[in-house]
Amino acid sequence: MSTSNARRIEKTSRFAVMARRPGGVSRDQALARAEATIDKQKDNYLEWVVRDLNTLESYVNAIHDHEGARDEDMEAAYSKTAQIRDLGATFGFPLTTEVADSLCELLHRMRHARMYGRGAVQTHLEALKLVCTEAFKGKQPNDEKPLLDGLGRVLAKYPALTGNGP
Amino acid sequence: MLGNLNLESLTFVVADDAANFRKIAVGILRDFGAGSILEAKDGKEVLETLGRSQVDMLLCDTALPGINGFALTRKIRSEENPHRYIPILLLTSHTQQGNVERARDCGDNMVVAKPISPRSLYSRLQWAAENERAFIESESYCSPDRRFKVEGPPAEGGRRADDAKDAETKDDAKDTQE
Repeated sequence: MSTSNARRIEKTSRFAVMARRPGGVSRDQALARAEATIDKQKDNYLEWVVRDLNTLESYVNAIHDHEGARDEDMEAAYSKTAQIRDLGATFGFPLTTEVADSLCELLHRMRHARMYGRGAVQTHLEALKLVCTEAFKGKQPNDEKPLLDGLGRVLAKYPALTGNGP
Repeated sequence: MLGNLNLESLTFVVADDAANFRKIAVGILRDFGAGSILEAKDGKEVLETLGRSQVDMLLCDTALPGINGFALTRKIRSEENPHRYIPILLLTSHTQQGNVERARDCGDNMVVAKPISPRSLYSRLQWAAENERAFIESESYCSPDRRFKVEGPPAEGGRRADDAKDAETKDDAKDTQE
């Protein structure tokens, strides 16, 4: 950062000015409405996630077919897994987020260490398919600690990267 | 105590390559009373949208295809344009301290951890509305001033010091299940 000519500029954004006006939806009402919208979408969530899992499985199969050698397969699987992770907890499936996060980390480590393990990927995929079911709705990570510990042991076989994640 | 938000006349852009995520984020903002919400699936679409619309806030995923969220913020902040100083909230699943610092170095106002919840998003919007920061600008840098003192923390979340804490994310995630 160059500081030789740095200057401080006071800016009031239109967002701040308009958002602070009186009126609009009250905080409580806004939150209640948003929670209700998410509740309504919860029925669709399992349909979405099954579609995403099918797509993910095709990407994982491509990884297996090429024994993890192609970056594009790893990237595609990572991206789809991240999408699953990023909505799980919002819809009351925190375990989905946890397991998907572990698979993301596994794919990230494998790609950078150039280490491929069919069993490790497949185990994660099967675990993800398992927790993306109605029976696991609302279950917290502590409720399925053995499952997560097992995935953690699989993950630990691949060197962790320092840094900020993908 | 932070108050209500009036988002009626404001335009948001939600930028994420995942259609389902955009759908949820758009739904939440609509329920908050947002006037207009535009969607973008990659960095190029964000820039095109900013080029033709007046936008008041950008919510942008870090992992956008093409130009990622960090580079996109840097580009918006580095060039003279009508949106140079708009609030930008960066959405990410990777809230390690390094990523939060990187987001700030690029000029983002705040990091929002994924998965999002209505409460976490609302608190960030409140924070952005009620705690505006000046910008520090030089030839190679333009970002909200980090030398910012909080006159009492917000009621829930939104403090810069909390941005990197996973705990809040998990609390927020629990909130959605209750």
